[in-house]
Amino acid sequence: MRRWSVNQVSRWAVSLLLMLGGAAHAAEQLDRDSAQKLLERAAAAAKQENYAGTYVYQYGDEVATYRMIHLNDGQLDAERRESLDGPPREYYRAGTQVSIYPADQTGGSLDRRYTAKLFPRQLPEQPEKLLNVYGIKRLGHERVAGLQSTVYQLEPLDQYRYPHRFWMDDQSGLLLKWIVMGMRTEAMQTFAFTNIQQGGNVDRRWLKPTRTLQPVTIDSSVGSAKVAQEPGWDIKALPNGFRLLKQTSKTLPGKNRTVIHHLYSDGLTTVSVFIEPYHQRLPLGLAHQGATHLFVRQSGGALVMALGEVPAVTVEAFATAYNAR
Amino acid sequence: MKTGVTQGSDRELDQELVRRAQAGDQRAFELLVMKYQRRIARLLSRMIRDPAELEDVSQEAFIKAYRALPSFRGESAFYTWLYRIAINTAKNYLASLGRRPLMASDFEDEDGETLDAVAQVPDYHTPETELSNRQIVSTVNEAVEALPPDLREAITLREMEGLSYEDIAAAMDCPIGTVRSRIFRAREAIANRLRPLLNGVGKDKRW
Amino acid sequence: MNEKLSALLDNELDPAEWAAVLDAVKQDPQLQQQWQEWYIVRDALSGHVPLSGDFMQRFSARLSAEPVVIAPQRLTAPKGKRWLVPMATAASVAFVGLAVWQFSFRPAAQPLPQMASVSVPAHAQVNAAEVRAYLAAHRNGVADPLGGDHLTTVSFEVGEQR
Repeated sequence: MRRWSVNQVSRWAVSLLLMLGGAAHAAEQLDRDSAQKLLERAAAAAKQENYAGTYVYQYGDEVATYRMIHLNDGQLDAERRESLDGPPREYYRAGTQVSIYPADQTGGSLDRRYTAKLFPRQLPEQPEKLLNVYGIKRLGHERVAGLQSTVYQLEPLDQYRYPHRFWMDDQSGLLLKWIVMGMRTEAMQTFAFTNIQQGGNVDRRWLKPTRTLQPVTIDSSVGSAKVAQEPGWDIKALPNGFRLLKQTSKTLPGKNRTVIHHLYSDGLTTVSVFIEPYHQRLPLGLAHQGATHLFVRQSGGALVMALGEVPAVTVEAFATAYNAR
Repeated sequence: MKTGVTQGSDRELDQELVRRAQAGDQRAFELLVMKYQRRIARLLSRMIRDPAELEDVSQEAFIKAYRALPSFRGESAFYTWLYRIAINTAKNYLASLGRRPLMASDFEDEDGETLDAVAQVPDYHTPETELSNRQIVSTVNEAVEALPPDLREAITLREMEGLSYEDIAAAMDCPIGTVRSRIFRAREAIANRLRPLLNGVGKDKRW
Repeated sequence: MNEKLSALLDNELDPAEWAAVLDAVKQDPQLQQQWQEWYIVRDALSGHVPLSGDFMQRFSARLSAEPVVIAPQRLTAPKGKRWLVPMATAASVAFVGLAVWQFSFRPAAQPLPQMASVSVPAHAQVNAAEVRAYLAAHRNGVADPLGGDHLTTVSFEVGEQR
């Protein structure tokens, strides 16, 4: 969905080819044990280190820059983020308490488990399950934000997810850059530090919010059901590695009907399944936005939609696994 | 002119069609759309990659041009005027989606001919489009190859080399009337081959 | 008349004859078709990409809905397409905001409409707000408080990216 000039596109394509192709050449598969240690190290660094810096987030042809600081003195794990482009936005978290600016008008809530899962901390702390569905390759070395880093790639072991590539600071183990790739190994989403300070260099004063923040409701009621239970529905086997995160029933903004929402994750990426009474406002079939897919089908008197940053086969598999009894 | 034929220029023909459209003849405007749709789409394909979107925006551009016809005074060539409308339509469209048009500086060029630079630009088309394009292009080329030599030479000199009838007559050492007839017969023969492909989607049922 | 039309395409027809030819074209669907085909041939030979076979048909349908009477008027702002729905509510925790969604739908298994394709695929268009609410719910589920806004700025369309 990029709309870039031809020069930009070709330059981008060339550099991407060089980058993806060249690096993949020297790829070295990590054994499972090393892979697990690696992911644990990255997760621990993001959680325990003090760091502050500026990172760029890119999705399609949209780019935005954020400044962030993370401090963990053993007692308090806190972070603050601020958008540097466009309308000012702030995000402040102390432990599990989150406040934001501007205030959320919709009365939404944040899932507790995800309040501390923003870049560069998105990896699960227990990566075992992740490694059931992804393998890790070491691709090479590269400088990011002035630091020497090693490039790895999470390679899906099946067709149900996309590769992720990450750059890990050789010294601290912190993630410096993260790319979610699409099906043609194009960069779908990128997070990348442009500068970063770590350890004693971090200016702690920067943690203090600059605006009047509003606390956000944290939803900690989230169950940990292993299998979705939905009366009237027969849910067949789902793509391997996806686990139910939560199961809610709510009215979507702007809708006056109740929609059942099942949220699944494989540890890196998520898929939502929505169930509601059949209507014709959504055409049946597959749609995509870049590498994000959507599949809609009818089952009995209901409409089932699967949606996620996953390949088409995945949303299709999710949608067809749900059948009205 | 040696031939005694007073030629009208392409620009004057366009203006005649515009004049007719301005007087309420929608068909005349459709003739302009038939003539320029591919050039406009090609132009906009630098900004809009998705083929379906590209066609939608191209249509929008022609509709906007139609609405703006009263303001067309003929100071510039119709294509130059259309070109600006098309670029603006695409820019507005991208802006409405929150996307930035990225090649702004390239678009200020008013000389329609420089658009041929676009020919160097790789197309952003799906494999299916490519297939269809190849099919049409190859059918046309095959049809040209299959023509009797006289017809083939005439149409080639006209469409590929851009020669005038007079120059073609000189090159082929024959009267201008013969050139005109050969080119017409060549076109008919090529169109006959092409028609099954075009008719696949219902040869513009309104027509 | 056909041959004159051909000459007209090449700027080789005496302007004195234009009116007669153009009047004839206006009345005669066959001449209109020739005009169309000959330009396709010309463009194909110069490398211009053919458009969908129904491009003209769709355009004519739109054009006929336009007022025919040409009165002085200013260039009007584009009418928002139905499926270009401004982002309304969703500025939630995920800061899903600002953007416009486009969602154009085609049945998954069918190729894009092509000039040479056998049939014209259905082209349904969907109210973008419909999809947006689900996406907001999906993203709220994973709480991407700062990144989420971008996700809404990219158009959603049907396709085969498998």
